[in-house]
Amino acid sequence: MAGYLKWDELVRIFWGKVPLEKEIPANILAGTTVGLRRREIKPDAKKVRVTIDGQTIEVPEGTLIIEAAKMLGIDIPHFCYHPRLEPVGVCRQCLVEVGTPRRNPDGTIATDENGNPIIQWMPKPQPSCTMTVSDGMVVKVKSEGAEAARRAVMEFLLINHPLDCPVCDRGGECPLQNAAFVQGRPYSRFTEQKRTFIKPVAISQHIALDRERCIMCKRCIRFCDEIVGEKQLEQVERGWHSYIAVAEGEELDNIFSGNVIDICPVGALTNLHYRFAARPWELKRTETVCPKCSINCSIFADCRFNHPVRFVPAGENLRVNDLWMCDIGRFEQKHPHIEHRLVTPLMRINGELQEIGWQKALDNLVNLFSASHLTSPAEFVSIGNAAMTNEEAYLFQRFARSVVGSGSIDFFGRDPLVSELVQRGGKVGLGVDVYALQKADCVLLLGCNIYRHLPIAWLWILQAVKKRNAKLIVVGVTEDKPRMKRWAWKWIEELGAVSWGLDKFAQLLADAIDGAINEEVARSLGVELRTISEIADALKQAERPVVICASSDDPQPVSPETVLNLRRKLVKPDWDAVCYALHHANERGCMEAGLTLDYLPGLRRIGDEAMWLVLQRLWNDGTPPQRGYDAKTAMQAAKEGKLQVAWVIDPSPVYELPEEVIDAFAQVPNLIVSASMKTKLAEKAWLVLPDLTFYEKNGSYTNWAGTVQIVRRAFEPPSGARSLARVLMALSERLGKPMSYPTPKAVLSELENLRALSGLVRK
Amino acid sequence: MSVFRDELLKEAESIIAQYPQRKAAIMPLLWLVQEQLGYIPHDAIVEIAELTGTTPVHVEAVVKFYEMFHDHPVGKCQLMLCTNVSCLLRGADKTLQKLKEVLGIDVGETTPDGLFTLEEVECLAACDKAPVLLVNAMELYENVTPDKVEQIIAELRQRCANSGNQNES
Ligand code: SF4
Ligand code: SF4
Ligand code: FES
Ligand code: FES
Repeated sequence: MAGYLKWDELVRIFWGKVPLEKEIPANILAGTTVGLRRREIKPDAKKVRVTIDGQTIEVPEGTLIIEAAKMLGIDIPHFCYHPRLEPVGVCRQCLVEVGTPRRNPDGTIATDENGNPIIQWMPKPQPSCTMTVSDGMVVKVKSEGAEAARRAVMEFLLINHPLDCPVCDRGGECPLQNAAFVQGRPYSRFTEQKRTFIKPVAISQHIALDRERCIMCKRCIRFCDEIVGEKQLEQVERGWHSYIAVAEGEELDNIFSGNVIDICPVGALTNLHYRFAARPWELKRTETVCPKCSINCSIFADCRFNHPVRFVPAGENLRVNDLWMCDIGRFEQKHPHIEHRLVTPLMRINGELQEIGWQKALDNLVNLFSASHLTSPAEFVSIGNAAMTNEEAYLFQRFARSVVGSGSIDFFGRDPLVSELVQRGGKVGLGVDVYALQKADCVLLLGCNIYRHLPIAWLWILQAVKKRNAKLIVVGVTEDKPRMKRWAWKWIEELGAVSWGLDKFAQLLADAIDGAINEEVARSLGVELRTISEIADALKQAERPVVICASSDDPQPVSPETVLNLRRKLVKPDWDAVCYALHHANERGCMEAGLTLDYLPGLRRIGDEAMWLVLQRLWNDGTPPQRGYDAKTAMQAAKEGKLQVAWVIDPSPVYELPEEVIDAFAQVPNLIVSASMKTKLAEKAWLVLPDLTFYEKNGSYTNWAGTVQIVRRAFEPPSGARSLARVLMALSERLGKPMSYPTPKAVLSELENLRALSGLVRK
Repeated sequence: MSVFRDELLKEAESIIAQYPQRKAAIMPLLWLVQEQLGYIPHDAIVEIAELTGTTPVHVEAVVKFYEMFHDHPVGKCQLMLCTNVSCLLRGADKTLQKLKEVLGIDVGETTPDGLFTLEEVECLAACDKAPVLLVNAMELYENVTPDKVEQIIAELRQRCANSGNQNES
């Protein structure tokens, strides 16, 4: 057979060209090798020197070998190690050769004749994910011995693996596949029968488990246990029979369950909604934020053929969500199919909605807004929603204020209590820095179920409880009890049937912090005096207390006065975390952009002359508008026939408007609706303008903490749908009061300047 | 209907009290249940999880890890035949075949009268007397060649029936 290369050699020559794991684009490895484990390394830890593959680095004592290598840019193949989980060393893929300097009997380092330390090699390769570095340690990653060991592990891992990459959703972005290409054998020596399982099984309504593909790295188990605090997965049976399972009759139903899909290094856990929907290389990936709650997690919207097929965390966002996201954002976002989209403006002609072009639609709007049609600007209301971007919100209110001159501005999803808080206290108490919640040492949740409504905030609070023994006090929450209660230090579920009971309780607590307890109120609420004083003491002694209060979107709210009262007593010079829970994605952004009747951009009161002067300069005109209707009073006015024109931006599909709102606005003769689909409200309109959906917009969102993050267009909108900003700018120009901004960024920078003027920009 | 009630609950509490961590009591509690009921029903798993401050799946994993915990009812007599190397070399496969024939069941099954469960196990550290058959994790029959099977089964059947009567009286 001379002249022929052996198969083995052929393959080596061929695969020799395959990039090493390190060179594979970062997005493919996202969530597996990004970043380092942020475990507790004491700030005063001693520095030690370690040499890895000839490069020397100084790292704090307690650093794992795999992490020190990462700092040097050396990627050691691994499966069970994950930067956010405790090391377990079960997969053995990260084996390296380790040596330490030999010591003389007196403790000094033995040297050879040249004065170099003599290295004593450990007889067997060591897992680099569990072994910490020591001074003078020498590590070989690319040595023959270490590579042989890792190749052998790879061969073992593949023995029972089905290698069905062609039909596996993970294929193309699978760490196991990548590692097998880099260091696996080109063919299998295992000719026996593989262990098989029935595949796949659904372990929840969102996730499928394929037990054949699992390599038993236990990442999913550890994630549920360590990060979510609910041990819902386990390894059952023994040896090669073992597999991952949920308890009999249970589901993997915690609200962060989807993250196990991302961290599974193989295709064992897959997203049922993404099943066979795309291959990773077909996806167009866009980094944006999640519009489902006011946390605004950084996510990737992965689209195929101009349609989003999945949402995954965008990797380390150390201000907000780090590597995780919740199941609501991941699985419960619906996007209208292109067939259901509005692509041309509609107008009511002879009682029927008929298609008209954009030109005609704009003509009609111009006619409508030319002053002659409106006897008073108050007859025009503009109502946005909390899913609009900052830019849209800013332009929308500018249009109302400076072009039409109306002060009837509001948005659906605005919390009246939060507005009142701003009125009383200025810019405080709107939110907390989400990621910093991990540092809290005492957390009081007043009536808001953040597990459900601000999931990532719960995740970080839980870390504070687990890692720092923070005291968690939950009052007036009934849903999700089994999940939250086991972490609580005090759990007060029911308060006496008193109106504003929760508020009274909070007041009581505020007084108790000063040492005065109103016994009568305590009795009427049915809370023991001792409990109250214990909680008050805990809050008082805490260095970083957090109080999150229910707002009007919760079953029982806390009044703004009480929030401020508690805040006054608990705020520290470098720690301010007494606030309301905001529920909607860009609620804070819309407020700060001035989309409310009471506030100008930058949360300045409408009567604020200084701000109005600035705005007049910026906007080139405008009379200070009177306070007009808000969404509630506008509904009333609409029913009474006092409204001539209303422009409503429909938030669907991010969230739906209630029936009563639709019924009320249906009474307005000239109802303009911007919507992406033919919603119920659009059907009642006089003029319907096709709008973009969230994932087609460019702009920014401001989260609960006030962090401004960029919203990017993930795919192209259907031709015919136009962004609200574009419509407003065109219209204002036709009306002779042009608002013109070349890009969304220009709008944002104007808004940022205004926010900075009001001290709202975060350092 | 809960498994841990009255006496049993008291006993469970006293077992838990013996350990510095509640979780450590999982195995003794499982034994307790198995002694009482002959197997470990799912309800008991949930209750033990609650008693020891863990989750059901964790207890379930323990049950499934150890062969000697049963998560479904088994016969009064559990026959564990070793089929590891030494026993196999000495004809354990033929013994197994014979056992299956005599009992009329397959490995892992229980006879309809609820008397026998047949299991295959790994080395029982009695290779010098291979093949061996362990009954109820207590009694070891040695050199179990196929020709001895019928007699052993008859003997066990007799005994089980007697012990059954005793229990009832
Ligand atoms: S399912 Fe995935 S994450 Fe879980 S143990 Fe198996 S391979 Fe690891
Ligand atoms: S926590 Fe909020 S922002 Fe983050 S993924 Fe969930 S719904 Fe979206
Ligand atoms: S990564 Fe080190 S043993 Fe799994
Ligand atoms: S092989 Fe059967 S007892 Fe050892």
